Amino acid sequence: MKYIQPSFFENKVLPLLSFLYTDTMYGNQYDFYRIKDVLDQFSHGQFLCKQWAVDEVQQFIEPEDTIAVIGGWYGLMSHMLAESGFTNDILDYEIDSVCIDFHDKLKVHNNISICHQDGFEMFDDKELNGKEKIIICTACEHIDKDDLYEYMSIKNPYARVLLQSNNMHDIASHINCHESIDHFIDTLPEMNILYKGTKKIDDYERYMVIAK
Amino acid sequence: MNIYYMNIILLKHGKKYTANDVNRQAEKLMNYANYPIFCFTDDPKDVIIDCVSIPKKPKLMKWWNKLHVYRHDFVLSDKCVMFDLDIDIIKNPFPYIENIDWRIPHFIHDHWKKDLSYQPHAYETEINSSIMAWTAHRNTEYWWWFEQNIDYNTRKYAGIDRYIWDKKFNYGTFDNEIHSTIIL
Repeated sequence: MKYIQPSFFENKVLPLLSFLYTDTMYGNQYDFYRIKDVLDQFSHGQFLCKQWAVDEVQQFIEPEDTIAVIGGWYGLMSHMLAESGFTNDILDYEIDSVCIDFHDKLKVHNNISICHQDGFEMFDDKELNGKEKIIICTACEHIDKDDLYEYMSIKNPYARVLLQSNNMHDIASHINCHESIDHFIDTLPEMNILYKGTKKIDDYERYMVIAK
Repeated sequence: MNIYYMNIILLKHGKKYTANDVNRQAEKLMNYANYPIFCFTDDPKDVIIDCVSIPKKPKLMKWWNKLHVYRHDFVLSDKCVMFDLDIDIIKNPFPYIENIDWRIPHFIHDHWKKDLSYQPHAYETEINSSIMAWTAHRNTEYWWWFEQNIDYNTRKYAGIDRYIWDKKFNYGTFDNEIHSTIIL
């Protein structure tokens, strides 16, 4: 599997799942559904869409660029970026504190930092906006369309963004799905499109745009 | 003269139901009560009853929009009852609604589900929010807990009934006779 080693599962993912199972038997810090949520992060579709992102974004990353991953969940995107050979600083933003705990447990690469914060808040901060030169969000289906438009409107024009969404309308947690890549791009402010594409994964489509 | 007062609310979000579905359900309910009827919706087009807008933020999908009614800033006040659009009302359900303890939300009790042997992490529930009665601006914990991690909650639970059940909120259920007034 590209950008992920079998040892990652052996040393990180499986021990985390084992820990979670035991914890949910005797404690109440974590709930049983977390096991499923972690499994979903490491699903076939998740690997494919992150691998696609790494493959396409690498040509736009300079050695001095800082990379921000927004809504990093349990950290698969940042892990695969580092695993592909990038030694750039990678900041992984996530608002779910449990994801932060587990991201720490899963972390392999020292160039990854984990921030318990809404990554989109960087756009409201004059100092932070543009500090990260590459901004990645592969979970735009979970981001309000109007919010995403607003954040992209105020982003530093030098920052490159990689955004992914999909057409999985039936999932109740998906609030920003699309019919096609062009439909997705139509909901964003005008940007210089560096890459756009569609990937069929199982029975759904995922859309990706890299823009400046 | 009716001594009771309550708002009847019909939720329409997205494209699953049409304005016609709302209008038809409202007409049925008007046969049994003369309470004000509102459509809680993101699209009031062609709806013939008064409409109340679903809050734009945070954006929710499908049935999760029911939880907006537990917000402290919900636009309606006093006693409220929400009917799903996919239930068929065949008799007057209001005798089983009017006299509930309005201090806590009430739901239909799917009593037959108690015999099902689901594991706890299925979050299967005996409550059914196809009819849901509550007093606006009370029990805001229903919204507060949800709001703490909306994305996770909407992934974890296959609907608001399971969320409410698993959170062990304080609630009541209608008399089981309410089942004789509707077809679920």
